[in-house]
Amino acid sequence: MVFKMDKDKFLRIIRRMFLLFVVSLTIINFVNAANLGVSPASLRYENVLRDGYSERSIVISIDSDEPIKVFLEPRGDIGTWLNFSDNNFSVSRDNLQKITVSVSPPGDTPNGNYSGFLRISTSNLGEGVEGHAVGIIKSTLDLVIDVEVVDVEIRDCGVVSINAISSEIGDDLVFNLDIVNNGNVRIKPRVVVDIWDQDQINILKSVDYSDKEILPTTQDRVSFKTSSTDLEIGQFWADVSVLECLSSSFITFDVLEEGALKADGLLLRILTRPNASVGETVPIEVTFKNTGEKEVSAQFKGSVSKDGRVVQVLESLPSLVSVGEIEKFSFFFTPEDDGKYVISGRVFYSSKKTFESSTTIDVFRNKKSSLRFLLVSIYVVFAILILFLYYKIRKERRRFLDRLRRIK
Amino acid sequence: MEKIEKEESKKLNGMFFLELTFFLLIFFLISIYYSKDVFAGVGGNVTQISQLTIGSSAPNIININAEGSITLLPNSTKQINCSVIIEDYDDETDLANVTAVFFHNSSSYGAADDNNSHYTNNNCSLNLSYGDTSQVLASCLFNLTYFANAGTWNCSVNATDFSIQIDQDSNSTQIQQLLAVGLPDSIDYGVINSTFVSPEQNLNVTNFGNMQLNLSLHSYGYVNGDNNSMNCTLGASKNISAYYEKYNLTNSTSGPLTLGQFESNYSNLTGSPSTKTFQLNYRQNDSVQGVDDANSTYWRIYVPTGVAGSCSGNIVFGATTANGV
Repeated sequence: MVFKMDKDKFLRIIRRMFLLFVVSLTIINFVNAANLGVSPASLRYENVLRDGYSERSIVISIDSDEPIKVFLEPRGDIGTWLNFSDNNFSVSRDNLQKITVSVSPPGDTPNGNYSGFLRISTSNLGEGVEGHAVGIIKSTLDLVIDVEVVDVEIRDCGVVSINAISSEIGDDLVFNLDIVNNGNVRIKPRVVVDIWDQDQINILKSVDYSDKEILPTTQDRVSFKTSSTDLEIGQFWADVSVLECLSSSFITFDVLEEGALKADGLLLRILTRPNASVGETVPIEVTFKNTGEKEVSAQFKGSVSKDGRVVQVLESLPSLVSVGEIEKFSFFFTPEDDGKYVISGRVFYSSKKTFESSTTIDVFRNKKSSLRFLLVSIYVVFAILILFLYYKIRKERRRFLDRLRRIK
Repeated sequence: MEKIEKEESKKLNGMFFLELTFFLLIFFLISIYYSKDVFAGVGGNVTQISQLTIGSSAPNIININAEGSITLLPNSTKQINCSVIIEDYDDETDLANVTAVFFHNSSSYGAADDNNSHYTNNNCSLNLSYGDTSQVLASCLFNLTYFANAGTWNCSVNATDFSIQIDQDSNSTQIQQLLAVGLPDSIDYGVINSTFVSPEQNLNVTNFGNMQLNLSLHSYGYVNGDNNSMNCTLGASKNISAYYEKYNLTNSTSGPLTLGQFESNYSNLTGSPSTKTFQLNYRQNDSVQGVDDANSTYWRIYVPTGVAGSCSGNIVFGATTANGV
């Protein structure tokens, strides 16, 4: 059969196809654009004082590779209390935006719970259509924010890290502390530093610092300098205490010769088995890493002790360790009795020593030891029996010889 | 007499040999006991012989770093690395395989994989150049979907060497809540005559996060708070009030409607934000999107007298975890 089509029918089909195309375009208009996300989905500020301060962070993400402008707008009763670290910024898939949202309730706010929103939105992506009624969708995220206003002061802080930067002789020593204020009042933490000599016998110098103010719910760096002119070249120890945070730490630093390379090392770990049997030989491995700027000669000196009594001295031969290299010192220990043994020691290198490190081994008598004890007991009983028989035989022989002599 | 003497002498010899036998037995017992592991000399050193046979050494997981707090990406996957440092004293090449399971607190190590709560990597990549010759850095990668449950997750790692000796360890981390929503760009009501209600338009809302969400809705014409839903190019008033644009978040009403039917079946859009209960759950179905994480909403608009031409306005669609009404 030959299919024939007249011109009108052909035009009708073309018209229908065009109509279908227009309808398709309308449907395509519903395709999703970039999708915005916020983490976490809500924020809660607890124990905030009137005229106080509290902050939290949010992360704004988007599934678009292209940067999209994002706007923030506070809403609700607490809208005027809110502040944020940035507004009208760009976000893309590889460039998430971390925003700090802080709250400061006015001084005349009564105690209680308050809530509001932080509206996160992008610019409109839809467009109107000629001759149509079109509602352009503005997609937003309403981050729920709850604030608890109280009148009880809370002082609470923690020390995240403490370090001292080694310096060349004559230069100032720098101490850095990262402190987090977990309370609801601003604090000026007092930092006390006692500098000890290498053998940790004498305090050479003390420093007291308390100038840095840290806002509630924030973490900040307390950094201060002290002169090193009264310290000689060598290794020193510092006992750094932050009284307000009930925290202290023992750290080490060097005063170096001018232009000298710094020797530094870490006793990474003392590794052994956590438990062993009496009489079993246990390997002990000490790992040291040269973290300094020059090759060092390192030697481990330590001991195995039980109940405060040294059972075995551990001392390795000096070994050259290159920069960045890890050296392992191996020892063996055979416990002769059950109980808890402590293995401790330090690595000595370039006239310096590492922090002391330690580990423990729990030694117990296993079934094999008990069997051996039983065997020994049987041996002893058997030996006593034989000795007794030997004695009886000797006695009997003596009596027999006497009787024989009398007969003769 | 001689006979008696001979017998007595025989007895005497027997006793002597018995005595000698016992003496030798004692000596033998003592020597056997001590000869096992000690050789001793008077005034000299004591040498104890200890026997130590080191077989194959088991791998030892030193550290697992399961990233800090994980922020997911809306409608997308996020790759995270559970990074593991393993030590094997036999040599790093003795490490045969490292596997890792990343699971939510509500799940367990042995559970089946589920994009909401359980991921498995049976072949973590090994970096032998890390550390010394006994250390290996294993990277266990997981592609987390946007709908992975928020909360505490556990990265549990198994390291196996060629002697089939295994070490297992784990570390925990947090996945943050993610609030995200997917919406179309616009609702096109088409061409509507004045004093008529438009045909119903279906608007799909998809949850692209990991939290159940409600909706906060309002509209404006030109500027926020103008209480309009649309502005038109022609006509006497040029504005369509917010309450003429209406929605139904649950039920569809098909066919043409009168204004009365329209008002009774649909809720008014307002000029200021109002949170509505929608309770759109986040995705649970691993294979198909839109099954349990998307809901339709139904929209119509009434065109009053006094407007003509092209009309457009803004509908502000807010996703929120706040309770709705």
